[in-house]
Amino acid sequence: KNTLAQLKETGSAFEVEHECLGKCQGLFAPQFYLAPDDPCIQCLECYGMFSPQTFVMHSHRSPDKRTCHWGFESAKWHCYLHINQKYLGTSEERELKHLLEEMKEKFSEKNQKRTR
Amino acid sequence: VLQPPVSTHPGPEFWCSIAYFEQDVQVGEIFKVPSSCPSVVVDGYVDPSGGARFCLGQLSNVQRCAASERARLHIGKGVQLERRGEGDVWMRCRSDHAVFVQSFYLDREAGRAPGDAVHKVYPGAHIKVFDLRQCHRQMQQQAATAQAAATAQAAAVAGSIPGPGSVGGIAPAIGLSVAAGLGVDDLRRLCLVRLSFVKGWGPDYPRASITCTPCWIEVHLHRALQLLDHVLHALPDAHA
Ligand code: NI
Ligand code: NI
Ligand SMILES: [Zn+2]
Repeated sequence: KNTLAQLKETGSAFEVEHECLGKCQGLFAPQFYLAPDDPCIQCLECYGMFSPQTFVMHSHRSPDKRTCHWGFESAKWHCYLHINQKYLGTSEERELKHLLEEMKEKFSEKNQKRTR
Repeated sequence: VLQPPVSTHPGPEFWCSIAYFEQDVQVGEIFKVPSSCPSVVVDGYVDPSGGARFCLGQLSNVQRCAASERARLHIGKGVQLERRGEGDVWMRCRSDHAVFVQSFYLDREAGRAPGDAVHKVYPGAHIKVFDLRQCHRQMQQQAATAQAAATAQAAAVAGSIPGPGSVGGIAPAIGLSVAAGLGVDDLRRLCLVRLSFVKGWGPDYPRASITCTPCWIEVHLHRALQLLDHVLHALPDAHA
């Protein structure tokens, strides 16, 4: 819970969510995302810290009864992670979407090649 | 491996037609895809230029509810449906939100009873959602079962109702047509695929059926419907 308070103070953290294998919301702290596997997302429910790829596998919802899942791959986390719904239609939406896109590209193959 | 076609009958002019719904209301015109265009995109945009594209963003509904309004914003690049060979169908989820599919083919692939499961297809996934050969086998079996049930019911009605109703075959004829009618609706269901954008349904979601979801489509597969026609005509007493 300490980390959450810290993140909110620094101001750059923003809320994200996914709907994979159950829904989950978290706080993304860009300043902690220094390597692909760095825990930089804090779950808003249990306060656990996750890397983007492990966050999309994390959820507190009971397992599905009737739903079959096709094509889920945690490595494709950038396809599943969105800014929190609550930002949609607000003045922050554009800026946060852009920031999240930057985070998704930070360690993408495309960027790796560029820096090499 | 090249398999012989399921039927040598000439193919349909349009390989599928797509109807768009918001909850239980159909919105806009039915979109037909010519057989010369094996691939069609259904997306959330407004400008249908460039190839076979059904743009849901341009469809208006004066009674549109807030849930549909919101969900439609997330359809984005939607899905691509591709006919392969005689009438198999593949789907690619191009949206950045999952789509939820009702498909007897996927039920079987997942080891579920027909109609039992809701199939969530993740962004970026590319999967087969319909198999013509399997559908044909299924409709032949189901038609035969419905026929047998109708015949048995007709016989039971003829044998159990005393009085003028059973004389001259009036009551049996009613029994037969009712049972056959139910069968045909079930059989037609084999020839379509339904998919909901963004929102799921069933016991895992707050919506009981696909007709409660905010934006969904029904894809009628014409080759399969053609085969169904032949199957029904091949049954004895099909026009009773
Ligand atoms: Ni979205
Ligand atoms: Ni006829
Ligand atoms: Zn958690």
